[in-house]
Amino acid sequence: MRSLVTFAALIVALPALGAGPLPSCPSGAGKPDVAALVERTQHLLEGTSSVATMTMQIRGPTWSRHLKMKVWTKGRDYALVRVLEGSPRETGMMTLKRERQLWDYLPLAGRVMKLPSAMMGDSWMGSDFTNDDLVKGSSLVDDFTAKLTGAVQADGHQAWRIVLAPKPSSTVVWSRIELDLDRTTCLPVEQRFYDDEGKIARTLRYSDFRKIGARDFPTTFTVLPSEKGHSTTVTYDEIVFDVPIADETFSLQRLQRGR
Amino acid sequence: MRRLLAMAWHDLWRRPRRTLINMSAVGVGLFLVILYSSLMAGFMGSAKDDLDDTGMGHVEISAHGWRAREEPSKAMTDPQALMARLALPPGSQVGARVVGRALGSSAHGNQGVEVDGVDPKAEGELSAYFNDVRQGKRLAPGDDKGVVIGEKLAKKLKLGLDGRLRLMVQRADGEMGAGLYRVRGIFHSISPAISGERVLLTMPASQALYGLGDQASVVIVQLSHPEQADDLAERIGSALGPSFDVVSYGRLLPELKKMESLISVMQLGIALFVYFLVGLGILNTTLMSVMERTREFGVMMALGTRSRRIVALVFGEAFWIATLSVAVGLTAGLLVSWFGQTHVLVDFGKGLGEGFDFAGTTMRTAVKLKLSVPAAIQASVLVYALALVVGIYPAWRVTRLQPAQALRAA
Amino acid sequence: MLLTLAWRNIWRNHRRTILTVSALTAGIAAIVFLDSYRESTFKQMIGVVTTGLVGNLQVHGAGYQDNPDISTVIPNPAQTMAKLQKALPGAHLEERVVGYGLGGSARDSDAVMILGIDPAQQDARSRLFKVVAGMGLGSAPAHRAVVGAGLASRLGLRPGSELVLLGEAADRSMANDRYMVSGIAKTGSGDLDDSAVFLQLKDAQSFFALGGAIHEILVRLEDPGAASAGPLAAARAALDSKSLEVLSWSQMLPELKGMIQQKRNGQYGMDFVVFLIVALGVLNTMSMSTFERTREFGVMASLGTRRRRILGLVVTESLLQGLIGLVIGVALAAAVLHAVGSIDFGSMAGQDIGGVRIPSTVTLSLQARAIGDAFSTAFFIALVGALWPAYKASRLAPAEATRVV
Repeated sequence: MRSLVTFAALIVALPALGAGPLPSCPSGAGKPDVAALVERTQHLLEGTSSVATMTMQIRGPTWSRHLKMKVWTKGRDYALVRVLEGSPRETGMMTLKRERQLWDYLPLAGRVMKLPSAMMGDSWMGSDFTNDDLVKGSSLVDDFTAKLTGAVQADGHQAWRIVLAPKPSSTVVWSRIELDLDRTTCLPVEQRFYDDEGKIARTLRYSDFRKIGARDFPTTFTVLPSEKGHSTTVTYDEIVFDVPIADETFSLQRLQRGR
Repeated sequence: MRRLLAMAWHDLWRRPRRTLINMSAVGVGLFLVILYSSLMAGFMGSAKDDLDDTGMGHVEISAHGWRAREEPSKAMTDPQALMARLALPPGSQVGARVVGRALGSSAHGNQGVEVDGVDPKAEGELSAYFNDVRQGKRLAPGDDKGVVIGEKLAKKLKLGLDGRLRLMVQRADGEMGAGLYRVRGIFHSISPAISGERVLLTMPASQALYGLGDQASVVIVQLSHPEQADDLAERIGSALGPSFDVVSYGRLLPELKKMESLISVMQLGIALFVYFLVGLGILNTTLMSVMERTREFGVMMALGTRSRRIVALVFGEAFWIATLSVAVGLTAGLLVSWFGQTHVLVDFGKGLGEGFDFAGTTMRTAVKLKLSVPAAIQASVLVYALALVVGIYPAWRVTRLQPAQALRAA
Repeated sequence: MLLTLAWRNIWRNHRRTILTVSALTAGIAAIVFLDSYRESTFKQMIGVVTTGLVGNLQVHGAGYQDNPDISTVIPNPAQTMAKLQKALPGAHLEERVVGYGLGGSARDSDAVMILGIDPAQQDARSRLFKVVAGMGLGSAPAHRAVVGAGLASRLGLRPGSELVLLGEAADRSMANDRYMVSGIAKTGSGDLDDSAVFLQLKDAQSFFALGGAIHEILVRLEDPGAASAGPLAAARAALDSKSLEVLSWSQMLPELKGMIQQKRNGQYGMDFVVFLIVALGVLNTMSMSTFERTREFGVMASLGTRRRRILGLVVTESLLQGLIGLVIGVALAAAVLHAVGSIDFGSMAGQDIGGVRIPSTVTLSLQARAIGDAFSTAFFIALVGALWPAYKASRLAPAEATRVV
């Protein structure tokens, strides 16, 4: 199924684009510094704080549905997701991530429930993300050794292809990750996760690059698991970066109040 | 004496049909008794071996309170010292394990698993599946990055040799921990639960994963005489004191113990019944043959043969019948049981697969016979004695015959 | 005439008869006892299944057994129920919603199986659960739950506690709701005790966003131990096989079926050994007694009795003895069964096989199947035991027969 590319990383990450001292993009360079590129992407994927509104479209072989959500993030460890619009019973549902643990607020029940570790492999909100995805993150810099393999054409972009091989010390299940970065903007275009046999187990696509603040920004990403007919697409409707968020936002007490 | 035996022998074959019927009562009876006990021994034997197959100990020692929820935080300190202190009967195998739950993930999925951190040197003697690696290698001492997993788990997570398995656990300190391991080997177990959910790790690797230092969860003892398990568990328990829980497989798996005692009671009951039936058969046949011969004996007595001599003759015949038929029955019983040890004569439940989990252990569906020569000889002696004793009654009856009465009879 | 003669004959030498009959009696008693023991056990086991979670038959949406997806449903239960009832008059039907999710209390949370049932459809034949604390769902208002005892103790639930459920609904949305625990129940299955949450059918339907649809219709036949092949075929014929599937308990629980088969086979092996021993003893006695009577038959023949009549007489005598052995043997076995009453089914007590808990004690009773087996055994032994020697005897020339001592 799916794992590790963390949803948390995604929802936490991209907003950070507009923030902080992001290393500049060595656009057009003949042979860029791979380590710098990866670090830049990593930086991208680990923001400081953000508040965003997004739409999640989940597709199965015979059905499809969508959810509108508001997301607050602070670093890698804290995130709060609130469903603004979904089926009537889901509206108001919240998921709180605090370090490696997850709690759900259930609006109809008016109660908070901690997710037991046995459920970590289960789907989050019926999407192609697992609860596990929300909890853990791997670091592209710390866990992988990067190597530039050349320039390719990816999804209409002139892109660098970087192969990330997991370091022996990492706990990554992929045999390798291929990362395609746009050559001019250095933004990720596609990430492919390979299993032990060298087959693609999962694909992550970035698209709808838009100018947010000072920079271009992929406002849509799509997860394609290896099961046929399934996909989950997340689209950002609105993002604000680097807003100060009170620690109380990520507290259980607040979750329990359901607001 | 010799002449008497020769005469009895001669007498026997004067009426071959009667003799053969008599002999069949004893011989076939003995054959069936041996076959029956081999079948039962095979049944029980495989149930006992299945304990090794599941890697369970006859006696298991853990820190007090661990067994309730098997939390890694309730581990025991310094298992090596504990094992050194145990006074075990000769032939026992002992080893420590770290046991815990984990979420296993590969590129293709997640599965809740049971992690067994083992000492590769000791484990080979404790669990059958440890040695039954069908792909790759067994877990090697010092290989702290390697795991060996069951066939079903490998299939479920689409893991091959050298595949990546990540284990996510709750550490002893309550924090989440994770480790990445490479599949070194894939073992075979007839138990669906073991094959589908067990991951073997070296002890140090598992201690690092769960944050246990040099602690272990459980010490496993396997005995060459499992029946000593209860006594031994009690002795170890009182020696170690209340900070340890010591259980025997009887308490660990009360069902297996119950089944064992039920089967042995049933076995004893049915064996007694089988003996009873065989004895009754022999008695009936001999009695009948003597009754029918009352007239013959009457004639002999009328001709001046002393009753003592007739008794001796009847007894001599009984001796021959018993000896010959026990020899034949024993040989046949041994041969068939011996053959059944290597060939499956009884196959329960086709379509059930090789085995199924039951009462926490695994039952094999094909039961082989288990020949026990001492048991077979014991049975032979018993049947032999039975045949001789039964021979006494008709002989005794003969002594009470009045020739005239005997002639009139029948 | 032949019968009276045979009857008088067998009591002429009563010692011989007693010997023969006693061997037969012991054997018959053994076979009847073993058979009854086994069949009582199986009946009870099957009864647990068919009166419990599984029922004799189940109807699902097509494909549900292989892939129990929450959205694979019986769309129009009322219509299907009516068709089924017509095809299986006398059968008892129950509707059910089955789903999985997460159950949480103030203390903890755990994976649960959520079962929606209609309390009004639970009759004397359904023994799905037994409420051990609080109340069942029968008279409860909506939003009440009955929780398995194991789950209740893990989550710290008591009657009156609050239970929160979370799960994926048929429309793929995240169902969540809060219920009040009305009772704690024991189901007879350890797995179920550790995970089951029972809701009213309507509550479960709205939780899983099913509308009026359900997942299963359970069929309970009048006799819990009845064979399922006939009703299965009838139900299949009555329903649309494209949209619905019908399965018997043995198809849903192949493990249990296999277990029973294994036990049966194992005991057949033992039975056969016992049978051989009995047959051998009786054959010996009978054939010997017939052979020893060669002289008597010779006399009869020389007095003008026809061969066929001698043969008939011997066989009748033998069958009479078989009958006596059968009657006494069955009576003896019945007495022993009654005296033992029930057996602690230690080997399997409390064990789950395919989600069914095996009863801890088995009430023993004389089983028709056992008497049938005993009857054929007695008949076979008596006939074979007498036929060959009788045939031999009847073939002897009178002079020859009388010469034999």
